[in-house]
Amino acid sequence: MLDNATERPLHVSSEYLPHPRIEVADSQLEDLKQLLNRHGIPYWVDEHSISFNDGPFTTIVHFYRGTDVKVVQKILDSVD
Amino acid sequence: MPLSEDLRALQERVVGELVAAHDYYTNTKFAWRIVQKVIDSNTKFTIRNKITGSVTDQTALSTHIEEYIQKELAEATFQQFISTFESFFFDFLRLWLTAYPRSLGGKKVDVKFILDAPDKDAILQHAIGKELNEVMYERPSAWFAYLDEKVKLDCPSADEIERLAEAKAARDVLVHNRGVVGKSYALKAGRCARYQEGDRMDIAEPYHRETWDLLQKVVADLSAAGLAKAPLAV
Repeated sequence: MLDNATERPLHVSSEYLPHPRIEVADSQLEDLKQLLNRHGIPYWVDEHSISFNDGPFTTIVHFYRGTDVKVVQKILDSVD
Repeated sequence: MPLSEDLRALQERVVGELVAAHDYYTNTKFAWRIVQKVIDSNTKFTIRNKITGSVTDQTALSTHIEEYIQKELAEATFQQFISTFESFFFDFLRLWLTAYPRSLGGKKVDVKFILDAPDKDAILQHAIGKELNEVMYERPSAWFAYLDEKVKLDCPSADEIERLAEAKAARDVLVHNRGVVGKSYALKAGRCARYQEGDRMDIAEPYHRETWDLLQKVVADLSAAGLAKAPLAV
């Protein structure tokens, strides 16, 4: 799945391993949520989004402890 | 000051503290996200901690940011929420017992203290302090049973009390056991226990928010119920 703003693939970040996360533009959030729901991946969405220098608003989707980062990345990569 | 005014002032103070604590959490979380964006824009910097000797550059700091948000900040503010609620609960009780001292029943006070006390109010506050100190070391279910015995407020609900007990048990794990769940957590948390012995306690944001919501509600409900029973200010 591509980030609409950067046209780079969305990436699951595991800097803090207990809670991997994805940063996504608000405009793509619903698509991402539907994708994760279809695959039964539990997550939660930051309640706030932020825009820098008049850029698009982005928010963070967090995954729970024990989520397999590789599986989630594969799901994202399976979508155009 | 009449009890009703004291209760209103207490509620206002505590709600303000809970809001400020959550604002601190949110604003600090975003401050770190802004730092991450600054780092992502290829800004370079070095931080030298003269106290510890640590030297941290933008690359090293970047590796810590999520941990600082998800663990350090979440845990610290969660503990603050619980402490603020405990302070509210016992201040509420203190106000009630001060207004209705006969509800202390046959509480005993040392003669020496009575003789040394400047006035009757000091004796009363000493007796209340001793009483509340004993209650404080009990489990939350006992706190609310005590409150119910002194003044029937019909809140919080049994479910809310159980959730409060679990939140306090989670706080105790963070404070007393370095975040590792021990045997006592399950005993204290009861049917709301979220972890097993040996697990690492985690304050994920949804739980952080749910706890804050619960505490706000219980403060509001207890305050409203207390005000409904307190004599009106003359």
